[in-house]
Amino acid sequence: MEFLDVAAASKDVLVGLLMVLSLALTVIGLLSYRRTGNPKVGMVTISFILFLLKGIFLAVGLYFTDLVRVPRGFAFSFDIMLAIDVLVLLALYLALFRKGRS
Amino acid sequence: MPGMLSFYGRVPFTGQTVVLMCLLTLTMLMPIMSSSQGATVIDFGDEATDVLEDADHNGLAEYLVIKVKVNVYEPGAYILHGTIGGDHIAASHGPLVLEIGPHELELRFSGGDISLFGVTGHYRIELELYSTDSSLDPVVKEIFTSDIYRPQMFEAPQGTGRVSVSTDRDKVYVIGDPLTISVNQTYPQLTFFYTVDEGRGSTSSLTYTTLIAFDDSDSDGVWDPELDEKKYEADLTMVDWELDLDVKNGVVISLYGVVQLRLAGTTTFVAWAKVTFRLTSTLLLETYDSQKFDIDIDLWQPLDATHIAVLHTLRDDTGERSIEEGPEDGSDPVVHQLRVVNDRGGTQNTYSWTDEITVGYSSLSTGSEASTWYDIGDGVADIWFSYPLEGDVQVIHHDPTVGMDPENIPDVKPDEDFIRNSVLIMLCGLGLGILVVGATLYSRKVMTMKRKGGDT
Repeated sequence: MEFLDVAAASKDVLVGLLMVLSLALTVIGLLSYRRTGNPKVGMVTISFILFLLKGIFLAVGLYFTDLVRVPRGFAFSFDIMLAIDVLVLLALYLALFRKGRS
Repeated sequence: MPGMLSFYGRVPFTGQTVVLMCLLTLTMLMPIMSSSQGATVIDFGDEATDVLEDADHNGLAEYLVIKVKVNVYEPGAYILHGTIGGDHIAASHGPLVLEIGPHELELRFSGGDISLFGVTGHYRIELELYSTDSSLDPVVKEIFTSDIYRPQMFEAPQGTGRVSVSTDRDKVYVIGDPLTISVNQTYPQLTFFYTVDEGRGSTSSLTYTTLIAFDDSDSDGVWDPELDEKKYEADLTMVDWELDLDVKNGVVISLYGVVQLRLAGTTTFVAWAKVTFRLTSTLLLETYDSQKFDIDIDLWQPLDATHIAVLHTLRDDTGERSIEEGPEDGSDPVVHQLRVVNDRGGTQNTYSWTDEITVGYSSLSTGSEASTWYDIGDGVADIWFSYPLEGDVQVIHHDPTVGMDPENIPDVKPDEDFIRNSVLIMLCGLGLGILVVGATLYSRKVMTMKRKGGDT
């Protein structure tokens, strides 16, 4: 059986999570901005769009072209940075729902 | 149908009986079927044993010897191959012609290689047995775990440029630094390249293709196709070549075949000769950048021709380099040299020889002189060695040299190791994210509905 490359698998899962969370936040942000017209919400939405672009760039670069390649020596650091991005988005996403419940 | 009824009545459970009979017949036929298809021709016997060989009694072993018991079910030529630590250390024995019955074979792993391997503990030795006849059973494998050994128990290799031997099913490799040579196991071909680049950018090959005997009508020692001099010919690529690997005294690789010489332009075989290409690792020069090898022609009967000549081809296998004639260096005897030159003009592979040969009747006894000529093309050179058959000469020996120029060893950077990307696992992450978002949206909806329900 082929050895499961934990660093590589973690990176793949994190890229998937990053794209979904950033997309969800972008959609929610756009809907909120359309409803409120608040420029602060617009700015926050732009930051979510940037996260989404980052996710798309990584997905295209890693899986469909050779644009992005992660050296094995850098894999652990790469995973940590991706995990922090995902945690930031997750915290913001959950914060929206907390606000909704209150 | 009264008949049918009475039949069923006399033989109860006829349906089950028929099925049972079929099963019994199949069971009886199975051994016959299995023996006719993919039958075991050789197998490992009892557990192998391991001993250290310390021939000079200095307390350090020159070889780790694995004694392997095998059972042969079909006579033939077999090769025993073993590796320690993946492909770090390899050893082979054979091809050995074995008769039916049990045999004990030896695999000798170089103590120098084990010393450099640097591992202490039980060695996991992967053993393989296979026939030289590729149509027979595939490789039989077994794992043997040795006694505990330390690298300090083995004799370290002398000098920095050590030589090791590695084999695969096609080739035997003699690996030095900077030169690696491989000998094809079934074809008269030598390949040589810089060890450091594993042949990616520096491989050249020498392929022996034709043997002819001719009458030298103009006495120039050279076969002239326009003078109708050729009398006999043989296609060396059509010969059944066999390889013998002897690792007891250095590494001696002998590729030999019996060549049938036929009358030129016909299919009538008139004479036989044994042609041997032999490579001896002890002849690897001290700098480990060049290797002499022997060409031996043993005519089994006298030929009514004045010369016998062998055609071979030096080819740049990378397709990016050219072949040039080396300069005359004024040495005595004259050394002829062909060089494979890269696009910066640097010489990488070299093939050189002198015209000195040794000849004899039944054994090599006297010196003589060969005539050699070549035709250089684009990345390829056709080379002829012509040997005079003066008097009763039937045995001929010539020893050219292949080498790699140590001045032009390529600077090879190790391949950077990137981690793999799996779209499937990324889609799993995507699904997980969708699940999280969906679950939160659903719980929000449920809570909103509950709140609305509470308000009403």
